[in-house]
Amino acid sequence: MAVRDLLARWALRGAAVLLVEVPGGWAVRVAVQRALTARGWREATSPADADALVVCGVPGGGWDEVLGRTWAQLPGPRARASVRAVEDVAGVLDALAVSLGDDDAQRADAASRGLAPEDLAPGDDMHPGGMELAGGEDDLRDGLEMDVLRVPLGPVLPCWPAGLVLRTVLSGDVVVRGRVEVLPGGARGPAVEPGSVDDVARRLDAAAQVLRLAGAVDLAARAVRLRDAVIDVGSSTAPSGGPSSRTSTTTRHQERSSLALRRQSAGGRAPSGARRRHGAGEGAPSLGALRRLHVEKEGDSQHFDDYLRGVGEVRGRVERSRVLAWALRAGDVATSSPTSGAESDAAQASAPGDLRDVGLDGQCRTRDDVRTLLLDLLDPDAHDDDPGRRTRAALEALPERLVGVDVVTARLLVAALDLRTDALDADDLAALAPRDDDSDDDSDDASDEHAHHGHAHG
Amino acid sequence: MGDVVQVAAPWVLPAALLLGVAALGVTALDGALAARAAGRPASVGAQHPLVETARLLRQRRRTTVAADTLLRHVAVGGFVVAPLLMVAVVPLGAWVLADASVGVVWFNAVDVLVWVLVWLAGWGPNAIWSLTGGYRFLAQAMAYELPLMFALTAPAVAAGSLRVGDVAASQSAVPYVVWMPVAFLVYCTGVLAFSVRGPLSPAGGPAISGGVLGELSGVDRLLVLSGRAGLLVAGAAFAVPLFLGGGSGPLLPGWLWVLVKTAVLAAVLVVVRRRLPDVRPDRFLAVGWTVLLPAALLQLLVVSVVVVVRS
Repeated sequence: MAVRDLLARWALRGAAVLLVEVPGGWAVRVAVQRALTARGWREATSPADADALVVCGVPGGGWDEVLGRTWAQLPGPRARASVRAVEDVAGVLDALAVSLGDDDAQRADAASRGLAPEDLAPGDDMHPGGMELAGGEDDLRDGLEMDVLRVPLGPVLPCWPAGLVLRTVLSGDVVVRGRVEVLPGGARGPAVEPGSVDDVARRLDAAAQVLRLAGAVDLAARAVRLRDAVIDVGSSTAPSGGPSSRTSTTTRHQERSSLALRRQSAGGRAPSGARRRHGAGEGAPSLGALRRLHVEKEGDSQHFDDYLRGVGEVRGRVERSRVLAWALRAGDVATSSPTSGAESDAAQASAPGDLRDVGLDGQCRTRDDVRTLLLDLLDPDAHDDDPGRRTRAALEALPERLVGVDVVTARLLVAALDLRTDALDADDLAALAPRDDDSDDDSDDASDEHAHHGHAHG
Repeated sequence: MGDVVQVAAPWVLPAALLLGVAALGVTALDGALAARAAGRPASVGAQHPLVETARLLRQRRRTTVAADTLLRHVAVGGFVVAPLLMVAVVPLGAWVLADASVGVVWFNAVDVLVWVLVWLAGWGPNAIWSLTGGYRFLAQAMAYELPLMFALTAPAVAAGSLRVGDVAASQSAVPYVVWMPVAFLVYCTGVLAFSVRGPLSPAGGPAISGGVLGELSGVDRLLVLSGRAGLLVAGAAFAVPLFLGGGSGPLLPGWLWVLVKTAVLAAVLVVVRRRLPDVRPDRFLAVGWTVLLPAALLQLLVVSVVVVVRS
């Protein structure tokens, strides 16, 4: 039918794709994102929003169930694919388009499954659809009876580290506690050299994710374009291979020697003003060597200078934007922080064990951190010496930092920490492996235990 | 300016069509701006509303385990009805769908209805991200609604009438925006907040996986998306008789002036919306109660004094 064809043709101009990045699949995910933009397609924000499910990277153990459940949530017409290498991206997207446009096959798929999902278990009044009702806990901020939910964040979430699962207990939209797990990739990602093209691109990517989550959509788009520019420059400069190939030994060496500073996980980091700066003319050290290499090969430094200017502009806008600072940062909100005297005492007296004080205070600190971390991600001078160690430390500290923080802030913080789950070693992954027990009473202890394990192995 | 004439009921259909076209327009503008930011041709982005419509018409409607189906349907349908109810009292030149003697209050009542719709859309699917979107929107609503209400009162006090046509007619010389700029800005803030998208409207967005939209697919999603674009247009349209002098203007006929003013204001709101980052509810609450509300009340005081002195 002409109408059906017309609808299908138009619909396929803007398909929404749910991307699932597996640890080690960063380069593939970025390649898919770029291909989506080039086609006029877009990323979906949730399974209900998606036409297609694309797994980026090689899933390890534990992914099957997650992917299966996600797949079942796609409304249809639906298609799924798995991309393991950057070269396969274009072919896979073509195949997706064909599959989505195949009305007969999609109808057969639709007929094979009902519109309403099946109940999880036989339900009753206290278990609608077999699900637990929201619970209550004694020590929570507002004492509501049915306010507490157990919600896993990840691993299928946009702008979220690959494979990370944060098993949270939420009171309303505030995190009461959380436990960190990581679903591993099937193959370890290529090691990322500090200051190499990948490291620079990955930090820009993380910055773009933070900006996107913060609702600064146009700035996020600029950061993404810069990320892509870096990848292009890198692939034209690197001796062979795609963007994930390493830079040459000389580059690496020069960077190592020229830079003693490394990015630190938030908490005890130095203010950005204290960081060593270099004149714009000679380029940032982490990029300087790359720039020279590029000049040797291409004969000019145009791309690089453009790039540096671009990053500087985005960073400047983040730095100067009062609205963004106001939206991201602390300020006068912490009126009931423990230090503010009588008011806080009264609040504590009226509600013993009230989380609100901790919450507001924690939230302010966290937002402050997000802005600092974001500026740091956009700093062309900064780089990351040991992403594995940094990620492990950040993951250990994460559950505690998220207590009393609302989910949106929690997501901003997780994005700003630029967690590289693909850089974790086997011992870390074993310590962070998903566990079946859903016991919540001791989950604080459990996360501590995790942290200790991580330490012992690290 | 002559009196406003209430048109016959069948004119609702063309009015709805016009509203739909305008909603397509603002979505296309938003898509074009987004495409330009991503380094793609703006013309491709401008097709976004049509592409998305085709996509969602093909898509199945999805439900969730133990969803509250009735409330969800109420919310989804309500999103399309609410903007229509708003524009029903806006005079297009000399014609209006409903010449209500309490038009200003009517608009206010409908914008409060949006609270209900967003909350039900959040509650209905029985899912955490939807619910979170609903929570956050309600918190935000506490911040914008009272200032918006007082901002709406200012032109009504100046005109001495709650009939929208009278308010428009009373500013034939100087539009109210000139001497009630604060009320106008507070009103625009309110429009940005109740249009369920962007910086002041935290019901959705990637940070909460789509929020109230997170579990909607197919026609349900299409209706909510159209409805929220319609809310922005309706908010802009209602500002025309209230603050921008209604259909008054040189050369062009009144109805065309109304359309032009609506289109310009809606476009400005879209651009502003893209430029601001999301403001979290607790921040906006502080601003709403310590800045917007006092500002709106002061504006109202000034207007009241002027009216008393004049009479």
